[in-house]
Amino acid sequence: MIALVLGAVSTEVSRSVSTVVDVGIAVLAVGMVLMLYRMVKGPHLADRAVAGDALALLVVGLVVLLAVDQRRAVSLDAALMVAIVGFAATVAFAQYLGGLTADQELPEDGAGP
Amino acid sequence: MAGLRDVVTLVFLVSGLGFMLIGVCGIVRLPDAYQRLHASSKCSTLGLLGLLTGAAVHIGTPESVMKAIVTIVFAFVAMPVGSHVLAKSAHASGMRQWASTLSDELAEDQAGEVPGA
Repeated sequence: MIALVLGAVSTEVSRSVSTVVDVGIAVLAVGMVLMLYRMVKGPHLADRAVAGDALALLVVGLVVLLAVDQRRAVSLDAALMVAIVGFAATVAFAQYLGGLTADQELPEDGAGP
Repeated sequence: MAGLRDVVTLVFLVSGLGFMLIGVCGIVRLPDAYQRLHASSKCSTLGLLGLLTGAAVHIGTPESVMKAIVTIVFAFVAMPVGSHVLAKSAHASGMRQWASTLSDELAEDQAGEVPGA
């Protein structure tokens, strides 16, 4: 009897893991749409860069949810790769943004791009 | 035991998703790119921590734990660095702050107005 109840609770909880994965995919999709809105509307170039950074991070979260759903560790490699590409894109965007005013002197090193 | 593991997975996944949702709300609602960076970097880093920890607990193999640790360490190093670089270059390109922001200490330091700086 107790084993039966524990088994029922266990299957209920493991079913709720897949429910949370589904809800999480919906939440991240809504977040991506909001980031696209910010990327289109953002008044300054830095706003668009922030939105792109957060968008890459939401993609990382989506890949992690895929790994949870499949119970395979292979997808975590893809998550790491997306995180690295997002970081590189942020740094490249920041270099471009800082190089927009090459007439101003940069502090200390003075070596502008 | 499988039930306990699923409960721990649920706690980590829900907390990670909550942090990511808070970060997204901050990026949409805050008035300034600097404040949006503030919301983005902190909330997204903690959200990624929760999601990856939940994935590592749920999958449970040593391989997945190792990959999750590597990704968490990379995220905790790379996200603050990226946000800092972005904020500094936005400040160098002369982006205005929100009108109600109280101070701009980096500009004061660069102007040499602070004697102890």
